[in-house]
Amino acid sequence: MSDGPARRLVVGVGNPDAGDDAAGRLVARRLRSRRDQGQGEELVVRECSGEPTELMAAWEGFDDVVLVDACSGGGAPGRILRFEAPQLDELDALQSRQRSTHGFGVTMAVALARALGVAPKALVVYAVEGRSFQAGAQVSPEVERAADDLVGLLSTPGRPAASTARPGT
Amino acid sequence: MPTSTSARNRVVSVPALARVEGEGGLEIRLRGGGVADVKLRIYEPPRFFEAFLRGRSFREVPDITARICGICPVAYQMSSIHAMEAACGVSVGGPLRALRRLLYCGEWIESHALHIYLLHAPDFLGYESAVHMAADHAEAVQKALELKKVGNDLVTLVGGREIHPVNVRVGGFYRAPARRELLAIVDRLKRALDLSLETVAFTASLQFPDFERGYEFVALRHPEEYPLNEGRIASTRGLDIPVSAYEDHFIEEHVPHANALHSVRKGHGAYHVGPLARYALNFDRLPKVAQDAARAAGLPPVCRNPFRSIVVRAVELVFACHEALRLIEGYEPPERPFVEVEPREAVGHGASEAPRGLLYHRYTIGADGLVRSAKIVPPTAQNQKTIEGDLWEFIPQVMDLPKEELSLRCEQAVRNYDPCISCATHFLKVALVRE
Repeated sequence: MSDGPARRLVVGVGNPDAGDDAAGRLVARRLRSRRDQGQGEELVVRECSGEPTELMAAWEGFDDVVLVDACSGGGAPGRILRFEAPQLDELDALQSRQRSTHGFGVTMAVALARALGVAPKALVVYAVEGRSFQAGAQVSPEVERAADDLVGLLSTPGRPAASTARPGT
Repeated sequence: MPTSTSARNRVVSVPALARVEGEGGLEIRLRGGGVADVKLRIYEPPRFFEAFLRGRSFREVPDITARICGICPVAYQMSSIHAMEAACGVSVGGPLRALRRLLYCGEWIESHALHIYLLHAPDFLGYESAVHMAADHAEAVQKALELKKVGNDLVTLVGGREIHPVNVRVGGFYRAPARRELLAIVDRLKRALDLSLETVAFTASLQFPDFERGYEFVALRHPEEYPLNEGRIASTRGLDIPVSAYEDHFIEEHVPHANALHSVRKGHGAYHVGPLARYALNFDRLPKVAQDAARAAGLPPVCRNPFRSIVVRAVELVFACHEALRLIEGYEPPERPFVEVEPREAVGHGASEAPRGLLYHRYTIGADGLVRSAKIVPPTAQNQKTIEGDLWEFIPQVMDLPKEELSLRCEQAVRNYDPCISCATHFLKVALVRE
């Protein structure tokens, strides 16, 4: 892959047309916008619906991957949760709301990749608590602010993906 | 297995079915050693697409209806486009027609590969999920991923992106790919064809329950082609009608336990759409490579065992890869990527073969091009009554199994149809009650 396995990949996951489910996409687009202005060039930024094969293809060749997705864990809208690979069962419970690809979600994609030995070495998932996931709804102000916070966090040069910081919890 | 009285009267409840698209459950009541009731509960909320299409421009409909499903958006685009073009008196042929067929091949490849290996094979091999299966069958799962990626990439190539393609419009496409762009995927499609043939052999090696039903199969039938976008609606009981006559012969009924309507053929009852139906009505339209693969897998030209639909899907994978290669080989870009379509006051009907079966659309539009009414009948809605019928007849074969195993067998029977509940309402969970 030309854009380099040594670089960090950020994948914004979600449906851009389903309210706060767009949280990951929003972060990816804002990171890309910063990069276009010469900031955060060390990041590779992609967007993905969360469909597992698409997600696995997106991170192919990268060892350092950050996924940003929305969740619905009953917490305050805009709360940011941070998970590393061993905590993904916890994340799975928060994402049980609305899987759209035959019951597969981000955590299933990660589990499948691990079973096949193709998971990134370092994988962190940031999940943003959403308020509404209605088709066609606007992103809530709380999630807008959380997206800005995550953009700031992920844009910090040299910040290790496996950092134990847990913002917003 | 001996069964206690309490075990003979029980409820099998799967409150949320896994490995299906959308949200649904299954409730089975057993009483006195027999089946007392079977309900496929579709509780995914109604989505009201047909209502909010009213007042929209006929040109917007393909992009709106594509949002009904993330697995088969191309099917929604194709059925709606054909309906709109029929309403406007336009017929699209040549390379634009070939590109539509090529786009549909991509959707079939990705959808069938996903269902065969990741959703249905775990049932046959005794795994809870594809993740559990991957530990022992990594090669099979990797084949699935490779096939699915080829399908995704083909949809992206023709449709602009892999989910909810953006390049499709009434009259054709916004942009037609250059020949060299299509040639770039040929080697991967050849590899996908080889993988599909291996998939037929893999699925044929699975163990199938000895179970058949006398279905009325309903599918499109075309004079020359295995059906994707076009054809008359035919059945194995002699129905042969134009798409525009669909509503003269089929009706949707509301049932209290489902947010999706149940379809029946008027005067005949439940019917079966999907791979088994297409195959039964169109075996002679398959290319020789797919026919040979089916024969080698032991499939007769008409297969009435729903569990063997996994083999038929694999045969259709062979077809889709072969057809995509054939279409690319003969492709010459059109002079313009679309033909002009002007609205007129009319009713248009369209039907195409979604991976899960016949998908019917009907629209009334005004001279201003605005939609006055819309009707969408997805394949899963058409199969619901047949799925319940399968369970009524299949459960007596397995009803003495322990509750958990019985639930799994029932879920497997539902997954024979790769049901897309999101489409049907526009997940599956089982409740088994022994009373």
